[in-house]
Amino acid sequence: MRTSLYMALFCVFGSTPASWAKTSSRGEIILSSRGFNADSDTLTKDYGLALSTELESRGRHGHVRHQVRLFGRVGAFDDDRSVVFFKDAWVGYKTTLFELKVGPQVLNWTATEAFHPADIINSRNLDSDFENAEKIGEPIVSLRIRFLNGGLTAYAMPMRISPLFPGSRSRLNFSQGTTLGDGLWMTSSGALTSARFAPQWALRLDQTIGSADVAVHVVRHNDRTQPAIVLEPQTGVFQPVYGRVDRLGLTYTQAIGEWLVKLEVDHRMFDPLTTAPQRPIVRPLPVDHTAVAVGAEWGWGYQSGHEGTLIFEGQFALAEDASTAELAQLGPFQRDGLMGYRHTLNDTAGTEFMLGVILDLQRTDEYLGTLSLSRRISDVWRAKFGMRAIRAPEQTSLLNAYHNLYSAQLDISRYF
Amino acid sequence: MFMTRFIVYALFLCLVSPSWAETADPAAKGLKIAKDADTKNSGFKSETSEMKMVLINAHGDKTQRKMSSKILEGQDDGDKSIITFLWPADVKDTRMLTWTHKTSNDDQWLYLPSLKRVKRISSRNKSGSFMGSEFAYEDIGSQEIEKYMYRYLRDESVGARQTQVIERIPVDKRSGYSKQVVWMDTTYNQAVKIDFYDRKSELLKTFTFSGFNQHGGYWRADKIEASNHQTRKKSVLEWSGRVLGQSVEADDFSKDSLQDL
Repeated sequence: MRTSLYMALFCVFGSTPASWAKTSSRGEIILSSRGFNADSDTLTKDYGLALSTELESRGRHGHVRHQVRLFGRVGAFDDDRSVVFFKDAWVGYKTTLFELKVGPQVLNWTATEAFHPADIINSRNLDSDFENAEKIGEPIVSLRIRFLNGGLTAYAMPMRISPLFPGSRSRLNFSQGTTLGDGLWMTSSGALTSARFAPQWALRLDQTIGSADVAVHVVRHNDRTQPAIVLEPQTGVFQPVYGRVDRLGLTYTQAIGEWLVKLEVDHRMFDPLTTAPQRPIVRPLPVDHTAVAVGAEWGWGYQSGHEGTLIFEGQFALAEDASTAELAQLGPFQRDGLMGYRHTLNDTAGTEFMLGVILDLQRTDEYLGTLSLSRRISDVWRAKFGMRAIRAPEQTSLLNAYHNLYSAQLDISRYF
Repeated sequence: MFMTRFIVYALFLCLVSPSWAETADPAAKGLKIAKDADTKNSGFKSETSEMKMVLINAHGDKTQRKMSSKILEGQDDGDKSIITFLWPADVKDTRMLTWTHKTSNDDQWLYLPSLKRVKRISSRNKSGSFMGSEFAYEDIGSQEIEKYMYRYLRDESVGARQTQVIERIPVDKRSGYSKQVVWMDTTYNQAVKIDFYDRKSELLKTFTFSGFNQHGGYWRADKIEASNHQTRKKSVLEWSGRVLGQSVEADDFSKDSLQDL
């Protein structure tokens, strides 16, 4: 662990030769403490303390560019929270016509604030922020052809990266304290393998047209967001299975007067999973469906100079002939609405307050409420305090594992 | 008969003469002053600079902000600009791309480096404070002629500078100002002082421009002091390393470029 951390640090800060025409580096160290309401389980940790760091180095020399971004966390009470991974570690060549990048990248394909059905490439660290989980860099070779006010990008993703699941001691563990085994990947022929290398690809066309940003994507890869679960009969370990999926979708944002209107669509067609009887399927792959998120933001200024923004979002899944149970298994937010309010003081401390409630539109007694306050303490220190409450009493809900979970988190960040 | 014809002819000449119209109509003269200044400042192609902003509260406590700026002059439409935030450390490398439009709302995007996200933002809240300073977003953006209605007020000296004073009223009702009074230097073709009036028509703040330097044929102030008369707060914005007319690619002002160095 320590060796890999040193190597990673060398990669970040030792990766920029002094002769590079332009370089930039930034970083932060975050001391995070979090606490949950007590549960009856002695195995889980109701309090957490972690030290995280993110280090970034970028360079440009003529047409050549590079970026290295490393993330690491050490958990004080829960070793399972300790992770080190690259978010970015790519080298690129950019001209006015095209850009080639080789190496791990984090892609951000989202338009909305809470629901991100089209933001599908990177695996996530699921023992992190609930609504915006940390992304893990995906090894990618990308070629972008630039034209008009956008371009067409082709992605080859030869290596599959597993998500990081919360450990058995984490209160965010959604499998009742069970630790999942290593992930299995579905191949194009339907077989299961633990091999990490396989062809995956994506195409994305994006353009700015007037006051609208539009992007259309086509992807063929192993999905990480909706895995099936199978049982390894010899060891009794549950293993996630990442299915092969074809995706077609879009993101759309348009400024209309005082409103920002947003749309994300992702249609998913899964290859069938047929592993039984070798490995009984505990949870099947999702049915083919279309995930849609719509959103709108409306902002205004107060006489005091403060700014207020109302955020409305909704996410729903469309699936022909799917049963209610099948729809419920598509994800925790398959028919939900968000109402949020962001208040920015516009002061020298950059104070920002955010309140949000995600309501399940079918199960009316299910909600997720968040409250956060972020404020600069000095030019290099910032504090963020957040609270979250989850209520999901129905057992058919994927959020049920977190029913009556209340938590608070304080992050103190030192930037450099 | 001859006298009558002469008077009619003279009246006709007066009516069609632009110079007569300018002096008689404060709106036309105000617009002409603004257009002349704009014309004389046109053709700079591009501008790059570093900026330091000192925020001073009513007790005199100071806070510093640093940015760099890159502007591409628009040909048929407004200018395009990128502001990169350098300090304080938590916003380092955050970037704001603005495509100014002469008549419609500006397009604006924010690049958030920690998320690697380019996010379109609404440009409608023009009156919001820029980085907690006494500068509003609408003060920082490109000042296109079409965004105001003008009226000539008077000629006046500001210190040793000879100026023409014009009033300009924002066309956009979302502006935080009911009007601005601009002292336009007749040599620099730049404002040397602006009074801003809030929506209640009360004096809100004054910008004082100083440290004028000539870059090629263009004068630029290297310092603006913004004094808020209502809160007693001040902000001082200073430029350094300003270069005009450099060859820059239009592609550098695309959404793609926000993730670049």
